[in-house]
Amino acid sequence: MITVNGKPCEQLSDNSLQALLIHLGLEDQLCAIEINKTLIPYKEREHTSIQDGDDIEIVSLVGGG
Amino acid sequence: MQTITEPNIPSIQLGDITLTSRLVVGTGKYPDYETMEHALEQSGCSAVTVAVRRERLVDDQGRSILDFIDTNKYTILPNTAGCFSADDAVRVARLGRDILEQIGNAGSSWVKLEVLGDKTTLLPDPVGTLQACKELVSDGFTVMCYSSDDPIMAARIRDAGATCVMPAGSPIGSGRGIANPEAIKLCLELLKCPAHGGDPNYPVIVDAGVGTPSDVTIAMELGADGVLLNTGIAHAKQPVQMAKAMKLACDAGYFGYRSGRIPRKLHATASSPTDGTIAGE
Repeated sequence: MITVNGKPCEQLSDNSLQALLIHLGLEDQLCAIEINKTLIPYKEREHTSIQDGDDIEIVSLVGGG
Repeated sequence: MQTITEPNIPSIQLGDITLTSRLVVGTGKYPDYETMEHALEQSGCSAVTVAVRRERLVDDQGRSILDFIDTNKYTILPNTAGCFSADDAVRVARLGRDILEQIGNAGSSWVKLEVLGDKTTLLPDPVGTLQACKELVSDGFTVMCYSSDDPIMAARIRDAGATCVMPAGSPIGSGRGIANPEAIKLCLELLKCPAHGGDPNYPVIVDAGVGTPSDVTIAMELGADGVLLNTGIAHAKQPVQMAKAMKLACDAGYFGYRSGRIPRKLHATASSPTDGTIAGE
C-alpha cells in the first residue's frame, strides 16, 4: 500500500513511478512529484521506483496570489 | 527651463528576472479563466503569481490554468501560500521550480516566499520566514519575501539574502489598503537609505491588502518599487476594468513619487494672479 496525495492507494505490480502516473492518467500532465517529502526532479522520474509504504505527493500550478 | 523628456517607467531587475511592469498580479479567485486572462492583459503586468497544490491539475473541462497564461509573455512567480512551516515552504518552492523548469519559464529561478503564522490573519511567521529564506537562498533561489510591515524584520529578511522584501500593506485579501504608511516608510528607509545601511536600488514591493487603485498609488507614492495584488482585482465586480485601474494607479504613484510633491500648507495660495482683478478690494 502507498499513499498518493494523502489517500491510500494499492501499489501496482509495476513499481515504477511512470507506471503510477499512467495509472492515474497523469503521464502527460504538467506536475511535480515528491516521494517521502523529497522532490523527484522530472528528469529522474523514469528511473524512479516506488516502495511499499511510500508517501507520494503530485502537485501542479493553480491560481494564487 | 527644465529639459522636457517623455516620462517613462524603467524596468526593475530581480535576480535574473526583469520586470517591465511595477505591478505583479495574482491568478487566484477569478470567476473564470477567461476573465483572469483579460484582467492580466489589462493590468500590463509582466509577472503573475501562482500557487502549488495537489490534484487539481485540470478543471472539469480538462483545462489547466497555464492554458490561459502565455508563458512566453509572463514570468510565473510560484508562491508558498498556505505553508505554516519553513520546511513546507521550502518543499513547495522546490516543487514549483521543478514544474517551471519543465516548461522553460524564467520563473523557475524565483519564489514568492510566504511562511504564515496564523490561519485567521494570515500574518507571516517571522522565525519561519527567516529560516526558509536562508535555506532557499542557499539553494539558489531568488527569494521574493512576504513580510509584515515591521521595518526591523524587513532588514533581517534582506540580511538573510532575500532579493526583494515584500511588506504587507494590510492582511492578505483584506482590502484595507496601506494600513500603516509610516511603517512602510520606515521599511523603505531602512532598506533603501544609505545612511541607515540601505541601498537605493534594493527592491521593495508592497504585497497584500490592496483594495482600491488609490491603495496602489499610495504604496507607490511612499517610494515602493512595485505592488503585488490579487483579490483587489479578482473579486472586483468588474475585474478587467479594475485591472486597468490598478495599472494606471501604479503608473500615477510611480511618477508622483518622483515628481516632488508640494509641501502641505495650512493656508491657501492662489493659483491665479492676485493683481489685475476687476473685483473690488
